[in-house]
Amino acid sequence: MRIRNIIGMIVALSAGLLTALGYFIPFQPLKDFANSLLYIAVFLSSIAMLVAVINLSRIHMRKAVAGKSGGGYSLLLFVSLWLTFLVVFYALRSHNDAVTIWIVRNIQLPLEASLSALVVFALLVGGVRLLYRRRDVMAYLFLAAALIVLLAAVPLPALLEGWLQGPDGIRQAVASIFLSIASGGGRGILLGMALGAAATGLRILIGVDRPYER
Amino acid sequence: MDAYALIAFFLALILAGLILIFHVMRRGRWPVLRNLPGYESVHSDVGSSVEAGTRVHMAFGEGQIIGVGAEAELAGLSALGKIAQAASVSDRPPVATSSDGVTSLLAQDVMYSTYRQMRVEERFDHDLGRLAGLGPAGYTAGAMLTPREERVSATFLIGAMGAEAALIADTGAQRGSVTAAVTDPVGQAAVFATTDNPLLGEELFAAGAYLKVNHAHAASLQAQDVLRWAAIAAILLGALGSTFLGFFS
Repeated sequence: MRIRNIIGMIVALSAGLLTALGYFIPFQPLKDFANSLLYIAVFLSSIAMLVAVINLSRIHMRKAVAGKSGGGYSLLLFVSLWLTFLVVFYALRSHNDAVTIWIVRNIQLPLEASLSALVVFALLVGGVRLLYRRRDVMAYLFLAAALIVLLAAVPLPALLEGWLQGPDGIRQAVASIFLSIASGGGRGILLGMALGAAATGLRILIGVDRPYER
Repeated sequence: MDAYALIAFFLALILAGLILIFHVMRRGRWPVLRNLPGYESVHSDVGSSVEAGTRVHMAFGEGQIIGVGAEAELAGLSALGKIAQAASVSDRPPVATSSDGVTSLLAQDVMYSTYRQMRVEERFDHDLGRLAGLGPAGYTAGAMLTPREERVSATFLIGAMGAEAALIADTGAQRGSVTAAVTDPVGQAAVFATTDNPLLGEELFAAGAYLKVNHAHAASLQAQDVLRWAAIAAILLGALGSTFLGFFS
C-alpha cells in the first residue's frame, strides 16, 4: 500500500468514525469536533456545487456557440441561470427579496407544476405499456391495485355510491385493505433499505471498501 | 445515550462485525447470488451500446453526498466504475448526470481513475460527469434531454429519486434499455411501471456485489441477509408473543 493511500485511509476512517461516535456518545467536545467536521464538509460541498454549476454553464455555452441542435435552449439556460444568480446576489445584499419571490412564484413554480403534470402522463403511459411489456403476476397485481385506488379517489355515479354505502364507505374499505397490505410491504422495503444504507456506510467506516483509493 | 441510540449503536457494531467476518471468510471467492434481471442485463446493455457506437447514461438522481440520499449516490458511484470499465473500449464513454456538485465531481474522478487503469485516459473528458440541473424538477428536465443529445442507448438510473424517475425512464426507454433502482418508495412504484428492469428496495445496494466491484460489497450483502433474517424472526416472535399474551390475559 502506498503512503498516499495510507494517509488517505487514516484521514477518511478517523473523520468518519469520530463523526459517527459524536452522534452516539453524549460527550460535548466530541460532538463539537464532529460538528466542525460536518461544517467543513458542507463548505467543501458548496464549493463543489459552484464548480459543477460553472461546468454546466460551460457545457451549454459551448453548445450554443457551436450552433448544435437545441443550442437556443442552451443559450436561454445560460442567460437565465446567471441572470437569476445576479438578481439573487443583489437581493441578498440589498435585503430586498421581492424580485426573487417573483421569479420563484411566476417562473419556477409554474414550470415545476408543468413537469409534475408530465409525470402523471408518463406514469399513465407506463402503466398501459406494462400490460403488454411484462405479463407476470406482479405486473397484474400492481395495475389492479393502482386501478382500485384510483377508482376509490374519483367521484362515482350516485347509484353505485348508494350500493357501496357512499364515497366514504368505499374509501374507508379501500384504505383499510390497501394501507395495511401496502404499509406492511413498505416497511419491509424500508427495513431492507435501512440495512443496505447502514452497510454502505459501515463498509467505508471499517475500511474494507475504500472508494477514495482509486 | 438514549435507548434508541444504544440499540442503533449495537446494531451498527453487529453489522460491522458481520461484514468483517464475511470479508475475511470469503476472501477471493464470490458468493452465489440470486438472479436479478436488472443487474444481469448490465453487461449486455453496455456491450450493445459499445457495438452501436452510442453512450451509456448513468443518472444519479436528486440525492446529495452530504445530505439525503448519500448512500444511494455511493452505490451508484460503485456501479459507475464497473460500467465505465466495461464501456472503456467505446469511442463514446458513458455520461453521468446528477443534481449534486460533489457527486458530479466524484463521477468525473471515478471515470478518470477507471480510464487511467485501462490506459485510455485520453478518452476522458471532464464534461462526462456533469450537473444536469438543480433540485428535483431542474435535474429531471436536464437528465431527460441527455439520451437525445448524447446518443444514449442504455440508461442506468441509480440514486435518490421520486416520481420524476418515470420521465427519465420514459425518455431513456425511447432510445434503448433502462435499468432503474431508486430509493424513494414513490419513485420505486414509478420505475416499476415504466422500466423493463426495475430494482426494488435494498436491491439498489447490491449493485457492487452483482457487478463485482470488490469482495467487501459481497460481504456486506451477506451481512445484510443475516440481519434481515434476524429482523424477520424478531418481528414474528414479537407478533406471536403479543398475540399469546393478549389471549391469556
